[in-house]
Amino acid sequence: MSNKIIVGMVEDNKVIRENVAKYIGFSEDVEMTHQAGSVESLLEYIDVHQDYKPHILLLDIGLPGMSGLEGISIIKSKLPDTDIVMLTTFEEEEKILNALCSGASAYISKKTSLKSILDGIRIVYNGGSYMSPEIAREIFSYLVRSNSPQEVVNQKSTVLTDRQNEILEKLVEGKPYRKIAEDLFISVETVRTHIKKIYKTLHVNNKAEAISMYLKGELK
Amino acid sequence: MNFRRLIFLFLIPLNTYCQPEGSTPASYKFENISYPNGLSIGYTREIIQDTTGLLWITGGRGVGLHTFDGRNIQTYHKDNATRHFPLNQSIHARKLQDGNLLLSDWGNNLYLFNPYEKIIVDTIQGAGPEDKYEIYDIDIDPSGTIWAITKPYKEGDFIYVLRSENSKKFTVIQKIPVNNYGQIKARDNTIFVTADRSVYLFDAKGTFLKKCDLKDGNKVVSPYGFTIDQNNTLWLKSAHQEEEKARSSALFKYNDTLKEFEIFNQVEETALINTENIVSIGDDMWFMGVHETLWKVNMKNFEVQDYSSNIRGLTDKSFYILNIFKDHSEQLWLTTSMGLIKLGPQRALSYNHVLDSKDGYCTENCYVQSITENDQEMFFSYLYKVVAQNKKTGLTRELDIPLGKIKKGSPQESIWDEGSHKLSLVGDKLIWMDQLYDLNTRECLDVLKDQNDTRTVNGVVNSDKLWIAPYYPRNINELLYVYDLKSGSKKALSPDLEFYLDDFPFKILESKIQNKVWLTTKSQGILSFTKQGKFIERIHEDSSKEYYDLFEDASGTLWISTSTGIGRLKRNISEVEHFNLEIKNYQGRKKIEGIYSIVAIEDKQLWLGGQNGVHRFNLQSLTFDSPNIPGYLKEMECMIAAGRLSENGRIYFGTKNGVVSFDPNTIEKRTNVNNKLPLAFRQITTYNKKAKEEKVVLASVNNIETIVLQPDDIWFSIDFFLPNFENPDKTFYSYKMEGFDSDWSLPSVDNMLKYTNLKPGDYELYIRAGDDPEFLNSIERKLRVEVKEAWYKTSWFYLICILGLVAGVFSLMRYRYERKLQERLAIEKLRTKISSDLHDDVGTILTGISMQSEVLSYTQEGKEKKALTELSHMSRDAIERMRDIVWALDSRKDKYENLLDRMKVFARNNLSNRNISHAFEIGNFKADGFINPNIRQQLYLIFKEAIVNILKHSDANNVTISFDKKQNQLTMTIQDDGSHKPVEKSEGLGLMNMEKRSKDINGKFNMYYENGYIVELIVPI
Repeated sequence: MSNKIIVGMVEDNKVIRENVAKYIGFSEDVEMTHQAGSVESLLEYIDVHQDYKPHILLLDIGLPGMSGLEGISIIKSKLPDTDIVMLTTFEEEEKILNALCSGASAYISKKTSLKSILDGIRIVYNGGSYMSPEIAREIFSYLVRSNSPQEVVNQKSTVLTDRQNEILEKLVEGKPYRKIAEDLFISVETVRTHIKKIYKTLHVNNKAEAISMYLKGELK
Repeated sequence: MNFRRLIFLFLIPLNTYCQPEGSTPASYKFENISYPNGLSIGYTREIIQDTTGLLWITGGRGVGLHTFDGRNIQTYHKDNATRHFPLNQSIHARKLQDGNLLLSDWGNNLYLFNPYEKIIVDTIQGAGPEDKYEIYDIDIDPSGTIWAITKPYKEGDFIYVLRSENSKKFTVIQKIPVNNYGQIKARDNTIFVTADRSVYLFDAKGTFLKKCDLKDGNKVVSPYGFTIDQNNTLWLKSAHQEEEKARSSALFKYNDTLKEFEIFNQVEETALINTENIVSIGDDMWFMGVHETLWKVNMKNFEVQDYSSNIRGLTDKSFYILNIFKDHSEQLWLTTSMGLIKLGPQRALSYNHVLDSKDGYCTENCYVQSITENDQEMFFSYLYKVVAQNKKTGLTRELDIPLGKIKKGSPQESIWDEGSHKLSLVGDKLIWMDQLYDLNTRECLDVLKDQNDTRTVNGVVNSDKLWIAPYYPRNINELLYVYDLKSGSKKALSPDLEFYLDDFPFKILESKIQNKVWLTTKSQGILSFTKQGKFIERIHEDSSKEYYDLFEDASGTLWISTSTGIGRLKRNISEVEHFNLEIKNYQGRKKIEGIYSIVAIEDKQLWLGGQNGVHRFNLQSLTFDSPNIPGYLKEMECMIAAGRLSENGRIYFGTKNGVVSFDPNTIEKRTNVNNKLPLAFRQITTYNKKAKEEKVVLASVNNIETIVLQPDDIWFSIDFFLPNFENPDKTFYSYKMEGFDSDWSLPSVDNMLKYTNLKPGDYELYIRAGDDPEFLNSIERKLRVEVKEAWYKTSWFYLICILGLVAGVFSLMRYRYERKLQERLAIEKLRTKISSDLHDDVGTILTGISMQSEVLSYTQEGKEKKALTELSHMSRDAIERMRDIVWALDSRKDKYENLLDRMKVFARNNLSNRNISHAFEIGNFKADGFINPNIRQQLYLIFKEAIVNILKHSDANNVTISFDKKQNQLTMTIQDDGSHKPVEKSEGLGLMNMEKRSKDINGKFNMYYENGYIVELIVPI
């Protein structure tokens, strides 16, 4: 039993896959145990290796065969305790939201430095998460409008706690976590934790039709 | 023969002006009816008058059928396209109850012919095969059964008697051997057939009854013509020509009791010779035959009249007369072998123009002022003379009353038109001018007893007194005189007139009931005096009214003719009640008519002579009416107080041109307008522009009510007529199309109308016919005319076209819009695709490079590490920039919120890392609105530049970014709280770039210091 963070990865680009793995290999607290080139390959591996239970699974969106988005729910059913972190090339809000509602715990952009990726892994492992203003806006819109027209007036979501609403608001405004933490007299970690919880709320509130309609723009 | 000479006398045309009153000549005016070009219509045989009054005339072989309406003969012939008759000829004709004609054509069959549609509606088959037999004579019995005699086409020695019930095929009743052709006649229930010298009798069913032999001594009897007189007696004439001495010329009368034909001797032989056919009309029997022979015998007194010479005078050729026919208007017609002859009775003129300028009694001035009479003569007063007319002989003479007393230029001469020169008669004495003229002794006596007093007088006679009112009384005292006829003395009355009378009286009337004498004057009202001469009163309420003539009825009411009509002065009332006579001319203008003379018929009617003709006033209903009077009586201008009811019952009026007289009981002229004969349409023709042909719409008299014209029917015409055989030129027609004509057409004898180019719509056409151009007595007919609209001109079609056009335009616009939209979407799709491709391919590669170099740098030291780290940064930078480009291209990011999000991300990622706090102040506007991609891009890059400059060169700790959209303008400001100007040291590219980008989007860029440095951008949108 090691205290290392076990990370798995599903990424079809060999260069990225190898370099991320190498970089993680440089760290002492994180270990990449398996990499797969596709969701199918991963599932096969899971079936074979029943004790494969990584803490974090880095999941690319654009994959051959089943896409990362489609794979979330299946992987989640097989690895319920694993935090799935989406790897995005750019911030495709629709896909991210979709992923978050499907069960992803966080997302990380590939364009950031490997160091940031590693930091991100650690944050998620520790219970936090990351949200960009764009994603925050999308989530906000989705949560608020998908409930009832009343909430639009009040500009709040009933499924979120007050604190979560506050944080979401500030994230929409583009405030950095430090600032949000200062304003709310909480720590940055607490902010990140709240973000993860907001994502969890998305899982619970995920109604397949609703999100599909929202993403198509019909819930606006 | 004495008779002949008498008749000859009658035939001399008499001078109507000298005509003895009350006699009616029994002469006929013979007229040959021919075509307008003068050609005779040829052989005519039988005549039928249809229900419109039109005459149908059959002819001889090859002739066809004629119609005559009084003016025009129209011939219907087999070869004529527009007037087509289906048979070669028409020989016999009978009228059937349903209005159709039964015709024979020297053929085997009989035909039922509809005279309105002019088509054969049915054929009754004859006895034998076609071309073998020909029907020789026909008749119809009272039950409607048709009988005929048919004989073999070529010579044969027998006839068949044929019978057809219900117009079905003929059945042969009997075959009779004959040498000569037979005749057939139906009377009541017996059918008579002549054959050689016998007559065969059959009953209505066809059962043979009897054979009667005709005997006339030793003479050969050739029965020719049957006739039935008004007593239902049957007559039969034996044909006879003068050359044939041995042949009988007898007239046979059928004895109903004995059932035999007996010779009738009471008709003079001259009428019987050369005659073959007989026709009974009223009291007369007409005998006609060869050599233009025509006799009329009155079967009551057996007076004979010979018209043969009259007829001979019509042509140079010899011909024979076949038949005589009387039409609805009592006109008589002869059918002959050379044409149709009309016998127009010369009626007595219902009025007489007794004297006029042609008589030689006047030269310039033929005004007859006054009329009187005794037992022998009528007396008429002219300006300079009195003319007497013998009542019996009609001869006129001038009375030798000396005129020398009238001096030229004297008042007597100049007032002749004002009702002067009145005549009065007492016993044998005539009063005229100022003379009392003894008709026996021819002596004159000066009534005024003064040779120098040449005033004329107006006088009225009581039994022994003569009231005299001289013209132009010199003074008041001379207004009235009483002249004692016995003593010969005159005495002036002195009426107590309170006014000056400078007028002269038109009429003096002595009341029969009260002690009153009235006097009418021109402008000073009606004066009344006692018979003793005492002035009673003057009735004069209206100086514009003139009073002319007087009549007192049995109740003592005085009737006055005035300048506006009639006035009534009741007994013991001093006010005149006026009844105005309003005349309307045929143009519809009303005028008030003055009445100059009154002639009263008992107390019922007043006959009035006025400025324009004769009128009537009914004393019970107190209304005027205009009697239907002929010609001159309507135009004559009557003189004042110049009317008289003569002892023989005739009315006389003195007029400006002689005298007229008429019998008031018979004056009203016969009218052609009555309910028996309607205004009929003969033919309606339309002309179709496309087909370029005329189409004839035949009109049945009572049926047609609507004419329908198709869009291409350019014109239509109607031939109409009211049959008038007596005076066809005196039937006037007029028509009006409601909706097209503003008024009736001018009255004309032309009986055709034509309308061209009527606009589509519904019209009502009115046609009227009358005796006179004012249509006072007329009948009218209405016809609806529907002009159809070409389908492509109807408003429906226009509507459809407009709708179609609108729909078309709309569709076109939509299509173009759709296409544009498609194009735009395609472009956007392309943009998105490019950005996606970039995103996927290049982005991935750059990410790989960045990661690879980052990993490599981890294992290196020193310069290599630095270089690889640099490489990693550069790659990430490249990714970032490419991302910007992709973002700019991405059409899904075309909203304000996309721009703002991106700015926020950039600010957070870059400013926060350097611990520069920042805040966004976003204005209140619709963030999901569309922003022009170019503006979006430039704004973002300017923003980036500004932030980068702050990062690089400023010492600020706080940055505020404000963004607002108001109306047509975007405002972006980036404010820091630093003291260093955030520009490149070289003051170059950065600022220039920002300015350049601003210009690119027509924006205004400004940078200034105000508690920090402010970059401001205002962009119009």
